[in-house]
Amino acid sequence: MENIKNTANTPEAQQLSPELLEQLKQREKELRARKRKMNMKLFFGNKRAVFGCCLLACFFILAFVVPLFYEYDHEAYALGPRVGAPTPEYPLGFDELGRDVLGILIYGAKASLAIGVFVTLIIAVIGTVVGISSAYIGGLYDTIVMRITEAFMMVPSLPLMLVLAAIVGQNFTNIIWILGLTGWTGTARLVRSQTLSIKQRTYIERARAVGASESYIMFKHILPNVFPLIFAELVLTVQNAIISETTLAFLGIGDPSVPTWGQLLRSARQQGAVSGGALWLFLPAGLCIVLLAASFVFIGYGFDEILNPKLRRR
Amino acid sequence: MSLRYLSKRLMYTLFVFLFVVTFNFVLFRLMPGDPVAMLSKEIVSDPEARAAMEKLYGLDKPLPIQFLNYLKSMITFDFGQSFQYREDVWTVLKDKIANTLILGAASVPLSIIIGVVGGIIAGAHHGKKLDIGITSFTMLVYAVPSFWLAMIFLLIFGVKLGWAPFNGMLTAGVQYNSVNWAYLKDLFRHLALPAISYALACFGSYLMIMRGSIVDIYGEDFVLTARAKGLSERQVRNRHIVPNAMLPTTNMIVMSLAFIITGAFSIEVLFTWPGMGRVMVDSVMRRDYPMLQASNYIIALMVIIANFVLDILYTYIDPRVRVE
Repeated sequence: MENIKNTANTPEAQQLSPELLEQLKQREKELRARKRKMNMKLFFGNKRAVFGCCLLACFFILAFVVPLFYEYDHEAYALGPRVGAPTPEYPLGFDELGRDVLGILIYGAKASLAIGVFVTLIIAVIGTVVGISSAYIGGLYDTIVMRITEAFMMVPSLPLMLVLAAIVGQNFTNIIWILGLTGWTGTARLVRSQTLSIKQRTYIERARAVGASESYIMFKHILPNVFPLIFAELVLTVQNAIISETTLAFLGIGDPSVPTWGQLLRSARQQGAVSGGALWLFLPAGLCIVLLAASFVFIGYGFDEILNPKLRRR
Repeated sequence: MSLRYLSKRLMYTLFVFLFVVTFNFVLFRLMPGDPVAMLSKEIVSDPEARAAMEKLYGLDKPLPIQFLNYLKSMITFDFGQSFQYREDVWTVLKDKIANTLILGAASVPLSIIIGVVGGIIAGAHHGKKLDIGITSFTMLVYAVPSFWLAMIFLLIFGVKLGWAPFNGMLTAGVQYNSVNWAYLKDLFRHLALPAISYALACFGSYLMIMRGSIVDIYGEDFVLTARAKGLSERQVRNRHIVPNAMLPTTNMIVMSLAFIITGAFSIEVLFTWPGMGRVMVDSVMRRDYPMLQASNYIIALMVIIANFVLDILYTYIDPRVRVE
């Protein structure tokens, strides 16, 4: 569906007679309401998106509500034996330092969500700035920036993350920056191609014809129209960030002072939990990662179907 | 294939190479931190000894000269001594690269086959229950970290059923004098679990791309023409749809080459497979900068060369590229 523009507030509309202006406002309001209704219908008709959102809501509850009722101290060691089996009081057993695994699981949800959100924020900002500026300025700047982006894209990111972690250190904030700074290339390219196609539309030409400045066009016309197109992609970026952080933590690159799910998997590896049968160390943590990541994948693909009309027709 | 296309790709490859080397140089020389400590492991506080060290490593020269020296050492594969192995970096790294490639060569083709076949099936039934089932399952698999899947497989097939060994590349303590049948058998036994779990964790993106392009092509006019000619649905699919849908998938496979080399790092660590992933992780832990720098460079170099070769091969698959 085409975007509904707010024509009632433009200077041209102010010259209309009051009744006509009222009618115009009414009509636009109706259209907007209809569009909202249709989007809601599309969203709720998309079982995957709904399922993903419900799953995600569960994790938000786990991260922000459950800690109010469940106390856990990451510094509280030796509550039980090393890699101790579950007890009635500690239903998921203990990690290699005798910490409560259920506690790590609950408090780890916050860390994973934080990683997902902040990394995606960094990626969205860098990707949008690089992509829009590249498509908008064009010329030599575009060529150079895109060549560098492609070169970055070609170089595998995991080794780069490892190198960066070795150089800048492994605290929680650094991990977020490392994931963000190595993951923006795909988004930048997508934003660029979408900007290029929007730049050709007639309403941009119209805006320019009525004297809008380039920065006005960029912020008021291009950015709001590019964003919905890359939204689905950004949701998938969240999933990617969560899995990457887990992988790094599993490899031992993580902040030991913050409880995370990846840390549990790392200690499972180091303590030989798989061959030793210490299932509590890696099954629940892995399931949490899979479900949280899956919720973003389902939301992402669901929104892709909603926002991408080409897919909807099929 | 035109000479112009070839030289254009060559120029681009050279550009990426220079970019990577420069980036590596900046990363290891200009980052905050002590470059002397990065090159020699020791933290030298005595100013005279420090100056001697800087002279030894060429750190007293101006940056452009340092860069040229760096470029030379990269091209000649002279990466210096590894801190942790106390040996020449390249000597250590050579074998690890081969091991990583063995794992990649065993798992990536498998994952491509699963992805392409699954994508064809899902695409041919698009909108139906089978398609929804396959794509939903794929999305779920997308969300599974490869090493966790490997842990589950290890638990089931290694620990519970005892079908496969837990770790390593060969049975510990057994010596093989040459590449013979017993050696290969041992290798395959150790390869099975890591390769299969990696392949299963990675087929998702291939499947989604393949399915997407199949669905796209179903709407094309030439498909209608083929049907109008009276071809059976199977003929239409196998002769007209699948070959055309392979193009974007091939592109995607080319783009994902990097992951052949690096994607299995976590699996290498889990199975203590003696590949580059383990070396890099150990190097991060032990701050073995020469090793890290060399691995990062080698991986990038392999990806750049592979991309160039595939770019050239691609012109044979997709004639449109040649015309451009």
